Amino acid sequence: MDATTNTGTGRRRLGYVVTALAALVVVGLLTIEGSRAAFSASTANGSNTFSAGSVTIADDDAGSVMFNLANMVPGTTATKCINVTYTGSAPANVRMYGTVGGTGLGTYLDTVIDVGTGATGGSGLSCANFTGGVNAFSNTLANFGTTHSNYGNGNGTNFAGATNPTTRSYRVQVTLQDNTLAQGKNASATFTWEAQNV
Amino acid sequence: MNPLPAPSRKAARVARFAAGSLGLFVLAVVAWGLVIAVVPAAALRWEAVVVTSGSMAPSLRPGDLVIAQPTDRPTDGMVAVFRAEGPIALASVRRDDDTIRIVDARPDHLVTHRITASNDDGTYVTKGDANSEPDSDPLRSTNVVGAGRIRVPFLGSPIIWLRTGDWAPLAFVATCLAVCAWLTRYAVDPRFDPWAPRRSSPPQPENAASARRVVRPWSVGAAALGLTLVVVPFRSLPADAAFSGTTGNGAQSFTAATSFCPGTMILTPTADSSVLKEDPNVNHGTLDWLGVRGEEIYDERSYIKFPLPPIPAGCNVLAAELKLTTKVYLAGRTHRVRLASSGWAEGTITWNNQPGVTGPTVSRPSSATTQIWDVTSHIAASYPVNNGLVIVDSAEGVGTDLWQEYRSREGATPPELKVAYG
Repeated sequence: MDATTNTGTGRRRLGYVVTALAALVVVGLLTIEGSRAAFSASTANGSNTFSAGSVTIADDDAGSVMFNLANMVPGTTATKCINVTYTGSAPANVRMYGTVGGTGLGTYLDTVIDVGTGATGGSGLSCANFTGGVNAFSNTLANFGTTHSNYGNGNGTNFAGATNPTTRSYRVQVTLQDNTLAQGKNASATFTWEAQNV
Repeated sequence: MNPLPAPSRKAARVARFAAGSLGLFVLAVVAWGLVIAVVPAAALRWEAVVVTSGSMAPSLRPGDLVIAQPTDRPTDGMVAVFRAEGPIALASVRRDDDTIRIVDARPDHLVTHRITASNDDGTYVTKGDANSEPDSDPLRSTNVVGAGRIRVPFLGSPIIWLRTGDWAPLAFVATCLAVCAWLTRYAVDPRFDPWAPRRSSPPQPENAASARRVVRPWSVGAAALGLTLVVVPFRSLPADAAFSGTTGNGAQSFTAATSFCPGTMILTPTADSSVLKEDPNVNHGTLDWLGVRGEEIYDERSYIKFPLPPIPAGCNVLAAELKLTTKVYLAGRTHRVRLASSGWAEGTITWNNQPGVTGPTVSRPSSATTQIWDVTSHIAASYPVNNGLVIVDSAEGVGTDLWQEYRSREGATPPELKVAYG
């Protein structure tokens, strides 16, 4: 009895030892090959994939800039609208912030931002059909750059808890104050809209 | 004695043994993976992290375990595990002028990205292989946790699922592993040994000693399964970090005029009207002439208002000339220009409600063609309140038939005001 039992047990044991060793070989090969590919010193070219994409946001300006105002005098004003659309998979808060530079004209540019819907927007940044505006900001352009400089202190008026898809129209009006100290000065600005999931 | 198992029963036993071996194989794969991950971490104090995003694809994929060797000497091309100070792009794509980035905005989290360049100040530029843009914040060497050395594919996935509450794949894998663990009995339990001689089937309960000796490796497998699913000693990137995307409208440009002073400009009236003493309550705002008369009872005056532009502080009226074209000429008169003392309207002004005259006086003899007055002080005095100019005869209330007419703004050659600011 013992002899035959041992024979059978030996085959069985051999079987699972081989199995365990095969697993080690497979894991080892996977790991070694994976590590070699991952940690070699060559940099893979950007493949522009959205592997983790759960938050996406875009605007409709088609590359146009909202404001390009030259030779401004007191009272010069311009109003432009841009549509910002959130299409992420999870609810997100969208906030607007910006950077303001230049030689100091931003201090004299009164800026009013309203957040509504329906603006024609597009590359012409048209405010036709803008409706339901909620005032988000009313101060100088320089103040906007100071108080809304990143997502943390960004202006999230009327664009919280956005779900896919949600579009808001941002109407931005800029007016030059009547102040000779603004003469000859200039300002630059970028506006950024950022969405972060709630 | 029991009969030998029929060939068909033998084949079934072998098949069961094969299934058990497969289950054992799967468990062994998981176990070896854990060993490879844990041993360097435990013995050498290397760091094991779970990749949670695809920003390093295809080198690293979400769910991979990365074992990193501590280093204080980062090099270009190295895949570094580091503590991020600012938002790190988990994925980014450039589209026109807008860069859409998905960033993990949590401060002080671990990130596995590749070092692509060294900065002069001793910091490094990092970037996910799948990202089009490098990370915005430079990497300081003190924040480097280690250099990626070992990658164990997939093994960190349960941790990500746990973090994100992704229960479906978690339950699926757990079920698969549980089935594998249960199957192992057919490979390791002697009672199911297809090559053992058969006494009876199933094994008799009276064989107590044998039953006690039975190894129950499936219970060991279950324990391994538990180990896999319980939070193992891996530091993992929090998969619930805030993802974000941005879009922008850049390069706004605003430039103020070099000087807000309007320079020299020629203005035409926005309002003008005669007032006649003989029609004291009649408005003559629509006539094409402006009368000026000095008589015993028929005095006439003309009011003219120009749209003076707003001027900022520091901007002054350097010169101003009022020019009128004669319509009906009367020689020998002297016409004065003064200021209206208060507001008036072209459509309502009459002799009786006229505001009256005030301010500086400038006089010129009547002219057969055009007449020009220097009204610099008048215009300077018209800021901030502009009530307009008044033309009056220097000798009102005496004589007969002594009138002259100038052309009004309704006429062919309307009044002009030439003003120089500076």
